Amino acid sequence: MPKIVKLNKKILLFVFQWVAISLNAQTLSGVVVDADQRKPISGVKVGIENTGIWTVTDQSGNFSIRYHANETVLFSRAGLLEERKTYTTPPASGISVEMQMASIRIKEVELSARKKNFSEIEIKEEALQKIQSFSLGDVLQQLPGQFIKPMAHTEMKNIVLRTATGETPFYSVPDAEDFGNKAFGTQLVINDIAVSNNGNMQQYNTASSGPFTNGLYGFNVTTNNDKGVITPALPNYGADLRQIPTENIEKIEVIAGIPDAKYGDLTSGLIKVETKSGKRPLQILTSLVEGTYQAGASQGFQLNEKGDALNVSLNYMNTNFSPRTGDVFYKRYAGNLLWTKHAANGNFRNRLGLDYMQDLNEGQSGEDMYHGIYVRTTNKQFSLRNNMNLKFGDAFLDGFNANLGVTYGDQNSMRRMFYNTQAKPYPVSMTEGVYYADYTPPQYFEYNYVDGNPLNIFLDSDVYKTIKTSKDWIHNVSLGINYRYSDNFGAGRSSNLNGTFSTVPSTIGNANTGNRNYDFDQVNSMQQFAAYLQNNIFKRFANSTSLMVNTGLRYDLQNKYSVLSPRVNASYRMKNLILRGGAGLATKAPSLNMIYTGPRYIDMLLGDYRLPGVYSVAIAQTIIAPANNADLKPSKSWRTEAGFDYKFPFATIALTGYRNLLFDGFTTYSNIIELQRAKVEIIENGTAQPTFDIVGTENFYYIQSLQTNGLDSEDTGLEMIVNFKKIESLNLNIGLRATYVETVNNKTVNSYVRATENPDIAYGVFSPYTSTTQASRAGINLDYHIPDAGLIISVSSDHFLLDSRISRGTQYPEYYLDNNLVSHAVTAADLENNIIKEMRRSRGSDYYDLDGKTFHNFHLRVSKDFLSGVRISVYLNNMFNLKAFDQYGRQYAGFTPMTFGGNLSYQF
Amino acid sequence: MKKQLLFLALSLLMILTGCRKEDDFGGASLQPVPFRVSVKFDAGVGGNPAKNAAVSLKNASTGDVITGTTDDNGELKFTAVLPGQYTINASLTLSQQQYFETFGITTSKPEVFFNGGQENATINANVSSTAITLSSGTVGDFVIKQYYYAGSNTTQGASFRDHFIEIYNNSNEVLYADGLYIATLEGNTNSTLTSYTLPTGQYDWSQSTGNNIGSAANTDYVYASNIIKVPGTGTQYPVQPGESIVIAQSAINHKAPYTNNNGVNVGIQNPALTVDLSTADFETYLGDYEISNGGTPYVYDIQNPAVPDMGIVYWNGVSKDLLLNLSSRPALVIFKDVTDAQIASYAKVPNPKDLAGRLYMRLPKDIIMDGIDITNAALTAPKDLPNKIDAGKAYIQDAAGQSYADYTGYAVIRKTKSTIGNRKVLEDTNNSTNDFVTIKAEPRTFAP
Repeated sequence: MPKIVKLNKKILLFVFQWVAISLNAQTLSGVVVDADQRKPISGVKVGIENTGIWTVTDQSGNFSIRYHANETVLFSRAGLLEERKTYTTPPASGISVEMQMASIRIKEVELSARKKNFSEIEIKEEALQKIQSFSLGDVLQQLPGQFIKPMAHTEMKNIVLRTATGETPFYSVPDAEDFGNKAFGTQLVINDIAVSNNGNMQQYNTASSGPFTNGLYGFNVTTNNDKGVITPALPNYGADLRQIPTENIEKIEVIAGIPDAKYGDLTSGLIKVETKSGKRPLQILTSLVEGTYQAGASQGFQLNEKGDALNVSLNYMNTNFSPRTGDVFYKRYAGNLLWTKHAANGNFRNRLGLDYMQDLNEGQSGEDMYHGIYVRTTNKQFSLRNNMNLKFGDAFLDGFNANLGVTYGDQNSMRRMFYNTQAKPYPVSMTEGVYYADYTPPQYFEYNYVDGNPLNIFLDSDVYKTIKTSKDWIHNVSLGINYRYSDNFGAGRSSNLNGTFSTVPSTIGNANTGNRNYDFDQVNSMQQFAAYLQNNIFKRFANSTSLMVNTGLRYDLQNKYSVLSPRVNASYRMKNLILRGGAGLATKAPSLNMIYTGPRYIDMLLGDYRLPGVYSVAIAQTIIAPANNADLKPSKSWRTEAGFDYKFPFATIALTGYRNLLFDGFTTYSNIIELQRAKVEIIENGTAQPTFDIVGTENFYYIQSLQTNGLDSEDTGLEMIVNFKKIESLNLNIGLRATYVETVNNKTVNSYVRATENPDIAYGVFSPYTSTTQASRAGINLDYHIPDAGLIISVSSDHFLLDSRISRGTQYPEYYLDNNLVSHAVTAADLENNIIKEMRRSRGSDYYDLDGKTFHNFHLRVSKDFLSGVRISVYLNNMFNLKAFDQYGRQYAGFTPMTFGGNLSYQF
Repeated sequence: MKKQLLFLALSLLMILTGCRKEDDFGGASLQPVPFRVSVKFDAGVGGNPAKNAAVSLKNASTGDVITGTTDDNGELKFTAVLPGQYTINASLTLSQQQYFETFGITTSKPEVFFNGGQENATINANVSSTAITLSSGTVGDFVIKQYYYAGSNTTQGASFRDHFIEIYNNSNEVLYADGLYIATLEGNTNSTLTSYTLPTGQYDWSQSTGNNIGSAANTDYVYASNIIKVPGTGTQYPVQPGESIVIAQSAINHKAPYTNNNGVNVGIQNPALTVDLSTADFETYLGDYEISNGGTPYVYDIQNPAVPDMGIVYWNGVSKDLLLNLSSRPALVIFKDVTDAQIASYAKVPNPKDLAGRLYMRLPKDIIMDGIDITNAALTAPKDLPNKIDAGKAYIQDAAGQSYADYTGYAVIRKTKSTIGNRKVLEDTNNSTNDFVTIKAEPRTFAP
């Protein structure tokens, strides 16, 4: 620890060296007007690129800002195209800047996702409409490595970036843990406030299952007839992107590389969303595809001449997996309010947002209530977000930002199943001991509930100062703190019989980890503290070359473990070439659900004596093993990337290579515990109930499934984005993206198999499986854009070039444990005898690939904007109705079938 | 060119004139053929031709039935039979007097039933006759009365847990159930012909490893998966004439299978769907057997200490309880007067489909007192029993003959032939197609 303090001191010293240097600034002033009507525009943010300096235009569109020669001034306001100006000598009389509405009637409007300074990608304006979207999860399908996926609106949506196991659905083997860790480690930030899933505890059997394995009690359903799937917002994964409608999104920035030190509680990527603010006309939108539709309205009301505004949006979405059977559906209601307030002098800006979201997942897997599982989950979420930006004028520090977010949820999950058991012993004691167990009714509905009330609080605040040295090096220094709080106040897990039928031991002598009611009162809060220092350095050299280096250092205290994460991103810009690279460490705290599992009840059935018509007596023992996984460390990831952008006369090509090492990932391991099983002697009493005497105990080993930090995953890949220069004569924009990635997963904990044939051997010990997955994807966009007609016709393609997976594992144990748990190596001779053979696993190494096959899918979109304010978009995914089968004749997962959808919007 | 045209015209003419009415064009115009059935008694009673035997030919595809009676030479000649696959049955009932007159042997039975038949028999222009051997079953007085293999509703009933077998004293004197064996037989699950089946679709047991007895493997033996036995000293379990014993899978009241500690029986959703077996005479409890063989008791196998357990004579593990709705549709046989030691000496062979699989016990057909053959709802499971024991097949069916599915709560029950005083005499012609009807399963009830 002293080392860190020392280091911090050094950096601080380094920072303050410039303080004395006087600055030589001029003032740039002017007015911003509407390009068509020449009316002044208020509330435009005027900022100096690569510095933290900004101001806002007043009600007459006027502004003035400190300016140094050759700096770039950026004018931006929601709904308008961004403008950039650079002056060698700023005109003393002031400047006039014209801004245009961002619409498809403007030729400069951005049609597709664009790469920014390093490898971050921005989706805004028309690019948000590229894919028919019902939620944030859909919009992100245009990122490199992603593709248009089948509409699965009844399933939770997560995104994983730069990994080859990205198509793994929830809970599926074999790479669910890898997918889960990376989805969990992808941080979503809306208006500078993290959206956290850390407080979600909607899992029933946490005490006995892994973080990313479903076990027997998932609140998910697959229907028998048409394979409709319900997956509600699960804990331990990332926030459900399906809960975020897109109509009030202004722009999205995706950082798959190294985020600034400001951003924490992530390992695998950052998605920053800015919502619409400021004056906006009323817009009404409806969209329809297959069994899904949504309707929404949004408007930005200007509150006064200063440009203060209130933005309101409402959205309703309804999806029915199969309208014919109607047994799986999802509904979402969302409403957002955003109040923006500026100070007259442009030194203060505050945004207060209130969001409400409610959704419902419901489905039944069988033909009636007696068959299959019925699941109903509801999720109500209320969020308050406040962003305050303050400038200090001539003070020592330039400004202060504070972001506060509070999210409170009401999550209710219910699972119902009918059991026809003929009555079975049901040992669900809440205390340890040997006891007479109850029986189940002969037939009954089992109801399992999880009622959670997660509370997540996020606070991030920083001070910043821009320093320009005598040699024109600009340092944007910020120092901030970050606090996160997660807790859950729900009634917790419960069941109508205080347990679950499938986890009670089924036969005499069996032991099993049972489920019990668990009140989330017993869950403590989890807090994260962090402090960070960021210095973004910019230097412009002669010959239009420049250097940008973002350096940061972040200190995190997460679940009692502290980590210091350095981060750096650099780019060196030459005339036609930009060289860039970065490296950094990031950490993700475990979720509440991973830490607080509740006590683990190990139930054993010792006897079941029945005299029909007279009595039924079951004798059972329950042992309580320690609760929770209190010692889970944060998972960590070292991320590095290097790349270049080269500008040819006809195209710009961006190539990025990366290598990300995730370690201490969350996974499950087998823990052998020694229990004392009671020996009982039964005393028969004729037709009276038999009684028992405990005559001693015997040692008994039991394998528990506990959660630990034991997964390493390494992603190595290459990402290319090519944007061709617009072919003016054809009104054609062409873009291309291609990725290759290899993911190597390595679980670092062994697994055990119980030996049954040889009494001298207790367990066989296996090394974990390792897997190598490779994927290569490409996509081409052809956008035919006629601004005068307000028309876009675009064809995009998804190409699946490579999919392979090798899993390595042994079928025979490498060690075995004797009855004293002493380890013995398995020798060649042991392999010959039947004792080892008995512990053979069915799966050894296996291999899957497409055997040289490639798949290609093509999508069409037509958007037409009418001058009346009506806009119609038609989306035809898989326009040629192609079908993809791999060489085993199986349908290729993720290949979207032909779907026809439309959007209709009206802007007043 | 002209030549070619001429050739074409000629060949067309040849085709047209060359076609004759009798030519078989893939069944488009089937021509009836004559067919002759010769019926004789089996060698045990001399092997002579059987006159006045009732013969029926049932067409497998059309369902049409042709019947007739054999002449003094034991022959029945049909002049016109549509070619196809047929099930041929022959039966003859001889009174005590006729039996003596025919064979010169006296019998104690008032009537003796002879049966014979052939499944999947082909009739066409090349096959114009067949021979059927009539035989009478072993004379025994215990008969299988009710066979409840369907089970009841899987969710609201008792599913497969309420299976039972009822055995009846059809004689006029007290019989002892002690030592009565009950066996379920192995057979093919469908009638698809393969390398390991006979033309009937049944397994060709002569192909089984260790079963090198030629065709006798299929004609003289049956193959048991499980054999259970009524306990007792020999006179412990008397069965009065007209009374029966019920052997339950689990002898509990399936309508209310759970007795709580206040002695209250807790019912199920719809008790009418299942049966009360708490008054069964015997139950099949395999828990002790499983434990002594290193296994664990079956989760639904409840031990009712008030009901004696059947002895486990042979259990090949195809199920962990007396499950009767297996896909092989096990025929059921009863036998007595053999010892456990004799049974232990019988060969155990795998079925020819799975030579590395479970072993089945080979039982000589002559020891069998009574048997019933069943089939599945699609009626494709072939017969497991020789005609001598059961010349037909029974299955749960509605009044129109449509088969019921499993888990419907139906059972097959032997028809009541007559009532002598209070005693009901059940039909026993050794042909379950004739002898059994379908009822809602209920122990100790009689057919309507």
